[in-house]
Amino acid sequence: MGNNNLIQYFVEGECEEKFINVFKTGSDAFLKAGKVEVLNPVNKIITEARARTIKQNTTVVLVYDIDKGNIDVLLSNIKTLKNHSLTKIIHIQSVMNFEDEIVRSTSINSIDEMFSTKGVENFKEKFIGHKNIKSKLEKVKFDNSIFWSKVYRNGQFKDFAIKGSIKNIRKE
Amino acid sequence: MVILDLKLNNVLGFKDIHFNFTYPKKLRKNSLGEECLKGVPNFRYKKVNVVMGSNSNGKSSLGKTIWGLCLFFRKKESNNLIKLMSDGSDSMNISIDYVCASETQKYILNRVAIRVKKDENLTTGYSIKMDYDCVTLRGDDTYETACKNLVRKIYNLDYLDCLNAISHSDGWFIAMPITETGFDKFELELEKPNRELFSNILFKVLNTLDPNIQSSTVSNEIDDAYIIKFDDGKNTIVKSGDRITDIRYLSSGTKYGFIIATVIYSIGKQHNGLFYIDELFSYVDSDIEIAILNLMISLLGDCEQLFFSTHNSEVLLLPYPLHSFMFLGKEKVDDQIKIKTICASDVEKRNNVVVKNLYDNDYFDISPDSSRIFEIEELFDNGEQ
Repeated sequence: MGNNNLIQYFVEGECEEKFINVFKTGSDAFLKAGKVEVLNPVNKIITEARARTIKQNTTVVLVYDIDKGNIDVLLSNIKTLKNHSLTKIIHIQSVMNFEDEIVRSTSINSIDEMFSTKGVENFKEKFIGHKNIKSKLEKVKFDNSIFWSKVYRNGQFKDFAIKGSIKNIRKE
Repeated sequence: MVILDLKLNNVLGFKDIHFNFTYPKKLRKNSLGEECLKGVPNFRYKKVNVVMGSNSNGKSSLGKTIWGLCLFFRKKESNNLIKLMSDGSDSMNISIDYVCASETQKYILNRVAIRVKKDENLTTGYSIKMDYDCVTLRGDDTYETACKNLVRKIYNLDYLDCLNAISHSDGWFIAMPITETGFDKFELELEKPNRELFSNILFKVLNTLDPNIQSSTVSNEIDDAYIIKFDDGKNTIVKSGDRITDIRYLSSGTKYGFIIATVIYSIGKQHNGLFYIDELFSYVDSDIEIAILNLMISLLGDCEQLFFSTHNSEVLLLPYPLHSFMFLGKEKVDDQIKIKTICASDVEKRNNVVVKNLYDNDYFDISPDSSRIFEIEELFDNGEQ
C-alpha cells in the first residue's frame, strides 16, 4: 500500500481548518482530503520534530493570508520540509485573507453580512462554530471555482503566487 | 441481542448523538457473509462494527453505555443507569432499538426510551421514566417496515413496570482494558467438560503471543484453574477470579491472552449474543490482532453482533463492507466540543475503496490535534526547563 496520495495541510487559522474539513468529504467535496493542522506557515516555525512525523511522499499544502506574516518564516519552513525530503509543496494564498476570499466567492458585499456579525473576530467565531457551514455558504451563492483562485503578484509572497495552484488540491 | 439504533443525550461523554447499526440495501458482495437475521433476509444489521477514533472520543464510553443498559435491563437496578448520567442539572435521554430472539425462536424488535432526571423528592434522588414498545418480526420485514409498527409514546411508565415488560433474553460480553475498574480479572467458570475446550483455546492464543509457552492444562485440583507451562520448565497456575496483572512470567500482551481466549470461547459457544471488545489489543502485535478479529467474526452466530474498538489502522485494510467501519471524533458546535460519529458508508459510496487510504488522509475528520505535543519543545527552547 503506497502513500503517494497523502496530503498534509498547514493552515493559517481555524476558519481555514473548518473550511477544508467540510469541503474534503461527501458527495459535494471539491477539495482533496488530507490532514489539516492549524499552523500558520508564514508566522510559525514547522519544527524538526513536526516535519519528521510527516510521511514520505506526502504533498504539503501551505495555506496562508498574504496581508500579514513573514517571508523569512515561510522560507525557513520550506527549507525544513525539503530537508525531510518533502518536496511536493503547494502554496494556497488567500488574497488578501480568508474573509476576502469568502466575500469574493459569494453574493455578500461584506463579511458581516453572512452571519450579521460585528467585525472579523465575531465572524470567525460564528464560522468556526456553525453546525452546517456548507448550507450556509450555499445560501450566499458560494462559488467554489472562485475561492482561492485569485493571484496577487505583489508583496513579500509574490514568488509563490502561482496561477492555478488551487487545481493541485481540487478533487478531480 | 442486536442493537439497531441508539440515541444518547447527556450520557457519559455523549451529547445528542445518534448511532445507527443497520444498512439500507443488500450488497452484491459482502466478505462478512449474510448480515441479516436468519429467516428475515431483508432485516439488515451491521453484524461487525469496527470502532475507531482518537483518545477520549467515546469508544470506551459507548461500550460502558451498552453495558450499563444491559445491566439495567437485566438487574432492574437504577444505579446502573444513573451512573451513565453526565450533567446532573440536565435530563439524560436514551433511546434504543434492539432485536432479541424470543423463547419461540421468533425475533422481537424492541424500542425503549428512557429519561432520567434529578428529583430530590425521591429516595434515589432521580426519577426514571420509560416508554416501551415491541413488535414480532415477519419474514419479509426490514428494519424500516418493522419500525412503522412501533408506536412511540411519551414517558409515562415507571421504570420497574417497563422493565418487567421488556424482552431481554440474551446475554452480552463486554471486554475492556485491565486498567478499567473491574476488568483486571480473568473470570470464567465452566462445567468440567468445557474446561478442556477452553484450555485448548487458551494454549493456542498464549502460544501465538509467546512461543515459549509449551502447554495449558486443566488443573485437577482447583476448579476453573489452568496450568501454563513454559519450555524452560517454569509453570504458573491461573484460576478464575485471579487478577490479570498478577499473573507471573507473562509479558503484558501475553497476559491479555486470558481475556482474548475468554472472548473467543464465549463467541464460539454463542453464550452472549452481543460483544463489545474495547481496545483489548493495544499490547498485541497487529497481525495477531487482525487474525483474532477475523476468527471472532467467523464464530459469530445468528442474531449476534460484534463491536471491536481499536487504534490499529491496519484493520482498515480489511475488505469488510464500508458500513462496518465507524469513526468517533470531536467537533466544535456553538462553542461546545461534542463527540460525533461517522460511518465510512455515510461519506463514501464506492464499496471498492480501501478505507485505510481515506483514514490516512483524515477523510473522516477525526485526526487528533497533536500540535500541543510539538509545543513542548518550545517550552525547553524558551528556557523553562
